[in-house]
Amino acid sequence: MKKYIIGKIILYAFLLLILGVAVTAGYRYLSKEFRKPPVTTVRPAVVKDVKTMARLCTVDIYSELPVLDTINGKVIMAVQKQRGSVSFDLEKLHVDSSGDTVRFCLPPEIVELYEATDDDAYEVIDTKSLSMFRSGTLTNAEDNTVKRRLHARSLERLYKDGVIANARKEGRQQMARLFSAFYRKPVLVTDSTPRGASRVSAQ
Amino acid sequence: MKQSVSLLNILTFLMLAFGGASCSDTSGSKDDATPDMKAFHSDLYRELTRTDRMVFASMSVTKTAVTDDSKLWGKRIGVYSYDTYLRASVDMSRFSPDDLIFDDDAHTVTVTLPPVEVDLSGRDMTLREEYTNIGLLRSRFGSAERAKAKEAANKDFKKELARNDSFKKIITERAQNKARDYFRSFFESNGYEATINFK
Repeated sequence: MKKYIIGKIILYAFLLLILGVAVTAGYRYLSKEFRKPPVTTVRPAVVKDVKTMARLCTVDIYSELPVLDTINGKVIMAVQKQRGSVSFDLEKLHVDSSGDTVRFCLPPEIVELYEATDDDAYEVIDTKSLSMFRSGTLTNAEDNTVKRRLHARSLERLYKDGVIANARKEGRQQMARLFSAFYRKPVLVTDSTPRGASRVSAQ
Repeated sequence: MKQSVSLLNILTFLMLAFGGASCSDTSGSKDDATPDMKAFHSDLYRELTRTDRMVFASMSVTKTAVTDDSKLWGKRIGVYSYDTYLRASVDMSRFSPDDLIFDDDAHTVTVTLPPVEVDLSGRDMTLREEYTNIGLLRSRFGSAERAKAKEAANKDFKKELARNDSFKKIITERAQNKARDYFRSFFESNGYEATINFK
């Protein structure tokens, strides 16, 4: 009887040991899996297109902005570095030098505004849900909508703050001086939209 | 004495006659120009250097990042892409007086433009979601994770640009050709035949 009980105790102890080893191994494996960071692989760059142009760039833009927006009951807080330029297409410039005065009309400005290529140009600080029962994770489409709104607001601000007006003034002055020196005649520049001709840009 | 004076006069006359002729045959440099033309050259040079940056080509490049966070209990894969832009421009403030040589007699001009500079003008703000595969027990990718994937692609592209010259070569060549065409037309509009070179 005693031998039977001792045998059972040894058996249960052995089984417990096996179970303990299995649980420990399983725990170690699963925690390693949990801790494994995502792997990001980047494909080589592919040239999409090359365009040629002749543009006079009068203003370079660089800014760092906080991004705070709400979309579909979710809030995102981020910081974005932006880079861009204001330029004029010299090929759209029709210069009339036939008379005693050189005349031309300043073409519409080309405003390009992008996310900068600096390190951490777009840094997400936090996202949250306004509802208790909803996830605060934004989809890619929601992210893109937030960014398009930010792009539109940034462009609006460039016009409102007079950055575009200054760029047009600079463009007028540079071209007037250049053509005056080149043709050795007085120059008359027409600018029908001194505060900005268009709000069309990349994106 | 009278003979040597007349010989001297003859020699002086001959020097002036042939020396003057050879002077007028010298191809036009700024030193030979009339004061009016010199003023024109100098004014044009000054205004060209004040025209800031001129952009002659732009290139868009697509980068794709694959994020794989698959685990034992489910897949979690996302493929995202975006476009980055390079621009090739000439900084006209680096133009020097020796870079603009006129021959007013022949109505030609030799222009040596500053070298074409290639830089990154920016990247798309939005991200294209090419593919996702999210398992039943997994959560979808969030904004921070997508931003990290874009950042990894951005860093990778900068390294690629540094070690692979082909992007810069392509855009530089296109920019140089365009700049030549533009400046030739520019000078032609005022009756000058231009030869455009680059430093």
